[in-house]
Amino acid sequence: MNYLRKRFNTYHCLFFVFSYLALQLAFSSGASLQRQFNLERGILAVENRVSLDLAHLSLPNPELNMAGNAGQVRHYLHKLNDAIAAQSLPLTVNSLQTVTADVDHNAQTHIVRQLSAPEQTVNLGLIVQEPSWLSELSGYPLLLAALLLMLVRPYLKRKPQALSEPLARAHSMTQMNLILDLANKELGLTHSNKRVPLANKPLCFYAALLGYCQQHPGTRLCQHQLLPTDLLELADKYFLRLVDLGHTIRKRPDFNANLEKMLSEIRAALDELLNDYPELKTLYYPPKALGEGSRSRMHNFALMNLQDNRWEIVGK
Amino acid sequence: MNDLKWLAPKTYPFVLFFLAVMLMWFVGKDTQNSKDYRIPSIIEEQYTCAAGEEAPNKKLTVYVNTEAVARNLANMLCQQTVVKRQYRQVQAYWGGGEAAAISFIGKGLGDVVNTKDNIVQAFDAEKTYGYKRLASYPQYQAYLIALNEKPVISREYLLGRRIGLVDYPTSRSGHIIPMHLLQALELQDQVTIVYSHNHSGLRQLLANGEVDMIASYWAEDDSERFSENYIQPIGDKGISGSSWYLKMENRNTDLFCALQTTLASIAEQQSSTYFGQLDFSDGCPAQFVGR
Repeated sequence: MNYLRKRFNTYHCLFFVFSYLALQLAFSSGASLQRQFNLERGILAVENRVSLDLAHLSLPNPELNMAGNAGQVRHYLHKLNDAIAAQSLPLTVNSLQTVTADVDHNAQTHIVRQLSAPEQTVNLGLIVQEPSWLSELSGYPLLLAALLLMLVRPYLKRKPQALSEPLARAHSMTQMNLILDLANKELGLTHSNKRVPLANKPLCFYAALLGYCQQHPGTRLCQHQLLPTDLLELADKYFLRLVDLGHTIRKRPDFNANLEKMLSEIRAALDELLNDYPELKTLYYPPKALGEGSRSRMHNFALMNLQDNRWEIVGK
Repeated sequence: MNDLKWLAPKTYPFVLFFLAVMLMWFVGKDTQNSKDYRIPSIIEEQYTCAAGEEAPNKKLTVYVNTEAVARNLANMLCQQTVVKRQYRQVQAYWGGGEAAAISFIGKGLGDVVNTKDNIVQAFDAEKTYGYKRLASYPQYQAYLIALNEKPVISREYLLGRRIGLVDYPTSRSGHIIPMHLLQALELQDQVTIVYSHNHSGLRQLLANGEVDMIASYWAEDDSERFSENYIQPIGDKGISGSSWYLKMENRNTDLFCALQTTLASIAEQQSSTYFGQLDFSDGCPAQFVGR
């Protein structure tokens, strides 16, 4: 059930119901039209038979003082109904002029046809058996509607889609968050098994950067200036944590030195991690200065778009 | 399934849908299976049986206006030695009313026919085609039969009455003789004539009270429904019963005798005393047994 629910949404169901109704309507219309056509041919066959036999039937004709033999005509009508039933026609002859056959007529359609014979007009009464509407339902429209649904499913998206898969996946899946794992010294994403290792110094620096930028949104961090003390303290704190975890025994590094190298290591790790989700880079990627501005004094590498609920540090 | 996107442009789903609708239309039409729309002939007016396999390829044609008698006679003739020697088939016809009588007797199409004397005389069939009488049923009387009282032959009594007659003019007791009576009393327009198709129909009309009296013969089983006290004879002499005739093209006396024997057997099978009494005409020189 859940499998079906995942693959078919309400739009699919609506389409299925609509197409089933349309197909069933077409099916019933075709069947009904053909049935009417067949019925008319059947009625004509009966008229033909009666017309051929008129000369041998003693029908009453008051103008010619002919009394008619009702018994003979009634017997003929019964034999005629037997012959009609043998041809499987949905008809019964009810009356010929004034002579009625013993047929049960329970709320079915009555038709009277007139045969213009040379000496008199003969009225032929017929009963048509209408089929129940249940017999018009069929399994074919249901099957075809299902088949149609299968074939047309790719076209049933609510909005027109770009063809790149990651975007499609990003819309339909839950949001991914950054995980900075101090215990394993790696960066990762929630809902993904991907893990990218990072060296101690850039790891601590990035952890501090995340915390600092979160606490001071809109801050400016320039490469050629000294880093804020809060940032450095945070980086030291994380480094001590690494020592506690047993990953290193060195003394605390100078986070001011080789800032460029640290940033490029962080960026490289993030590039690898966010390879399939480039849109997440806007959140976590320390912006690079492009072109001439790489050595500019004003370039800001702080994380401007960081959101509180989109990252976490594990192993603190 | 998503790989199908490369197949077709944006109109693909609409085309597919349209094709599906068309398909369903035709499938729906197809579910109504067409049948054979010809109803075979259901009125039977003749019966054929095989007589002699090695006989010349001739057909003995029989005409009687009752189906049961026609079939019975045909079957009996098919077993008859003389018939089997001379004919390969016996074909019996019935029905068709007076027009049939005209064809079979007036045109000499019937070899063995059962008919009334006035028809034979109308076509002078004995001279025209050589019809020879085989046997005849007894003479009978025409009556006016009423339900509640004995009818009186007088103008005053019959004025304005409803009288039931049969609708074919060759009937003597049911049509000709009563009309003579009405003509003699000058009552043609002064009575209401209700027509019936046959003599049983007349009795039905009288029993229902749709007529005051009918003109017919008196059969022995009529006393079950009507009273013999309430019948009035009409017509000055007896009416000859119907007769069996054989068309003699040559001096085929064997066939003549064989037919008389067969008719005698049929008469014996009859439950009614009227049709059991056959008066055989001369023409068979040898005396036949079983009379």
